[in-house]
Amino acid sequence: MRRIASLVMLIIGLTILAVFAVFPIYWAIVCSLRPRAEIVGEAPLYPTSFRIENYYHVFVRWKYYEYVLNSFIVATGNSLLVLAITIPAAYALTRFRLRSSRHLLFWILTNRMAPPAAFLLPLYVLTSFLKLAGTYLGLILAYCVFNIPLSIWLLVAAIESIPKEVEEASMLDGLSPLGVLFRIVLPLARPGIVTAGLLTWLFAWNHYIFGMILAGPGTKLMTVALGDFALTTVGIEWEYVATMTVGTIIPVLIILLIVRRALVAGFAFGKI
Amino acid sequence: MNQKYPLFFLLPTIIVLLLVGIIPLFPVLWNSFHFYIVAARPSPIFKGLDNYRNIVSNPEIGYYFGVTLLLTAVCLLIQIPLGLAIALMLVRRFKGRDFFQVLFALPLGVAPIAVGTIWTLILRPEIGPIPKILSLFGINFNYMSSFWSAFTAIVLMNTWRWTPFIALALLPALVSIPPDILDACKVDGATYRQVFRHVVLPLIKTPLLTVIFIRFMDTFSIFDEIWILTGGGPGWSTRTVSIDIVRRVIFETDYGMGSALSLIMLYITITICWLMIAILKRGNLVGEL
Repeated sequence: MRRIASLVMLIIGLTILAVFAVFPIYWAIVCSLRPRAEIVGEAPLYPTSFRIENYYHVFVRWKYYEYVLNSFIVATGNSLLVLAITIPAAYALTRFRLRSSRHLLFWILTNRMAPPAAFLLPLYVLTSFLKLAGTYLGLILAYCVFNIPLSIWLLVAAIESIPKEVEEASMLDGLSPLGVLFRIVLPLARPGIVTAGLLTWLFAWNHYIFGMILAGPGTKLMTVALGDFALTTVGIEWEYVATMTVGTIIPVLIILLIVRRALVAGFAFGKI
Repeated sequence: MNQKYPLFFLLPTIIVLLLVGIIPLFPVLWNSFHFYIVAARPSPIFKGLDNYRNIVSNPEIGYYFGVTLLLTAVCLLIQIPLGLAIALMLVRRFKGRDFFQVLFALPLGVAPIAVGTIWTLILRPEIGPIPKILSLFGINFNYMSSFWSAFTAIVLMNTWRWTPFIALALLPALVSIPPDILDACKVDGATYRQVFRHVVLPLIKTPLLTVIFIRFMDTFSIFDEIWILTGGGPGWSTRTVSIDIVRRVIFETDYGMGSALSLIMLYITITICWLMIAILKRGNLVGEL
């Protein structure tokens, strides 16, 4: 009897906390589907309208889809670049005991912990010097500061879980280290690689601060467009603020459900 | 084993990290020794350590560091116990535990910039449900009316976004505690508090310390959400160090001071990481680093 009572208490407690966790997202969705008069007026907490035109207005008529596309290009480019260079690096760090790997891991850790704002000016100096300011490539490079540490962290864990014997056997069969990497490690570590790819994509997609200065008029990112809009139209077009917000978080929530198990490790070693 | 291969595998990563993470710090270091406001005077003037002296002696900048540290302390004091409590609630196996985990994971996916817009939608007096509900009780709540109300709003927003992370990060360690140990304690007549204090806490020390360090650094560098929700206001009362850097670099084009502040932030980061490794190592808690 006491067991059941405590379980009921537990579920009630968790439900209250879960409502607190979900309500803000729910509220953004509700607002994004309301006409303006209703948002400013005495609208109730439950959904009342279903104005899908809000989305049409923002994404098509205001061409918000262009910013979404820019964010997509940058996030995908960054994710692919990071994977291409960190898969061999993570393999080397796990399988070859290097004296310098300790320093490299510490360096990677400090990059993870560093405030993005502190890298704003250095990266601006770099991209202007390389004539990459305002280009996709400049942004793709900039996000490496945080996504390389994240990817290495996740991939080292994934590669460590592969039994070493498989690799040793194939090396005896005459495969070169490069062959082992491509034929053995890559297929076996695939779930880990997919997770690393999706999470690096997610962090690049969500990132704001670098886009403020590194993106040009033609490469303006979705987060920057959302920030500019929310800051400049305060008190006017709330339904469109909500619509853009929901447009920003939907792809992320989908990825989140796919990589849920690795998510926490990602947030521990990825940059918000 | 051929020693050339590891280097060959590591080289691309090292080159890119050097390019984006180390090389640009040298011109920034050079900038930090100069008076360099592009909008005022396009060519820098050498001023030695003036920028650093200014940072140490300027009470405004001291205030930004103070607000940032206060925010970090308050957020950690609320979020770590709350996150731990949620994790403890999720340890027990019951139907629907997975479902709750999914719900708690949702805030983690929201972009920090969207966290700011969402909480603006919730807290703005003319549209938000929280001020409307409070007004039913006769309370007039406008989060931009004073420092403390803005500060409370920021803490609330940050707690929403990050407490689930703490809970989900501590959960695996709690789940992996063998039930026999806890049963043995119960047989010996230990109270719940004693078990927690002397058995559970020591067993989750490593993940707990790691999470505290991560949350410390992330709150210390907070920017996006506050930028949208309060913009550093009312006045400049909720301006964090990161907001100050961005404001200087982007809106005042003050590259001299911006550089000096950026380098100080990076220096603090390295010190804290070093401290973290030292603490975890002293307790023999990590072997890797």
